[in-house]
Amino acid sequence: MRSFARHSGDLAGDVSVSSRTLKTVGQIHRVKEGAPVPFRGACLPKKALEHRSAICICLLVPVLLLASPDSARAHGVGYRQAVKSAVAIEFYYSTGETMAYEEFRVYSPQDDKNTYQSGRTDEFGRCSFVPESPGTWRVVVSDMEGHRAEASIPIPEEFFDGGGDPRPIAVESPMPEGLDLYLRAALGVSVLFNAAAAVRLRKCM
Amino acid sequence: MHVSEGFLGPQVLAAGWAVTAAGVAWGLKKMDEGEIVRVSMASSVFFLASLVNVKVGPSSAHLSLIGPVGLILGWSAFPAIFTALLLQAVLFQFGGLLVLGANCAAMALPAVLAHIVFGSFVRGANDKIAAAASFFAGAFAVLASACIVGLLLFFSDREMALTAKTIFAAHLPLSAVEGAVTLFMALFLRRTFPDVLRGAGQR
Repeated sequence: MRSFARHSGDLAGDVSVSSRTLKTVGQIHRVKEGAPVPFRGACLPKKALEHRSAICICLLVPVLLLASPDSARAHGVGYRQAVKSAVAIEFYYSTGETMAYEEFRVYSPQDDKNTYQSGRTDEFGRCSFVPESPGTWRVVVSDMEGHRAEASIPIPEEFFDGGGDPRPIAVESPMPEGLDLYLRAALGVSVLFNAAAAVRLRKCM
Repeated sequence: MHVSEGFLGPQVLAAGWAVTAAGVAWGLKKMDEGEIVRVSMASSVFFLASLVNVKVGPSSAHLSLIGPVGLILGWSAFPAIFTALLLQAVLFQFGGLLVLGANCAAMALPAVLAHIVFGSFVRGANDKIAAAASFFAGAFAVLASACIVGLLLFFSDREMALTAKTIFAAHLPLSAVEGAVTLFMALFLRRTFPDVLRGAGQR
């Protein structure tokens, strides 16, 4: 018991008390078994605690007073109408169906590696972005089945003067639809059977 | 099911072309010239099936008919599917020319597997077993194809793991549709032209 008392006296001003030491102090103060472990400061004298609190308050008050009101307002949010024009494009499959709710990425003319903007297309396969500089912007849409569409959008200087729309988008894969689609389908079947007929004819000759 | 250009890495593209080249060569070797019309017929059906959209929840998928093509053609499914995919890439911009090898491997391999695993049951004497086998052949072919596409994407880019899982999940309902279509086609062929189900080069 004497050795415990000496131990606790040595630790009177030490803040970093190990769990083993706490147990020792708990035994000194006769903390009942199963009761919550006392606060670390329990091993400090009451006077030392009051002194520490006073120092903390003294340090904190000047910091709070020096903090500018602007930094307090930095977490606030607001909104206003954007004055810059946006470019909206629509993506679709070659069967005519729109690429709805698919992931899209926008790449600026200056940085072709890092994404300028990302998001999902709307119900009609549309997405939009606000270009910040002239040049050819790239928009890539990909779905979960491995389909991928890429649009190159040239933005002229006049676009930023409020002087008109961007030039027509260079569509990389024109969509066959209607009669064109049926003609292509018929052409494909025709090619397959003509190839078969050619093989048969060669065999007969 | 078609993987578009730009998704797969060069090693995966090369592996796809290697498998396709070997499969097409083996399929042509096993194919009798007298059966070329049957092969072109199956190839045409496969070519046109991609234009048929099936609504699956909020999205839609197109029929592939990999199972029926495999059951009818066996190893000749490789040249048939390769030709159909080539025409789809050129005429409809499905997939692409660089990725053609990987796409063909992803669809023709399950077709051949469906023929090897389920073919004998589909041709068997028991109607019920044949019906069940045809359904599973169609469903299995679609799911196996989705698995291969997922693996191709995963090996190209490890970050596509979630996409690969989503592809598999998205094809679960379609596999049921394909299984039903395969079931009706196989039962019809069993009654009318049972010889067709033996696979090209095996009659």
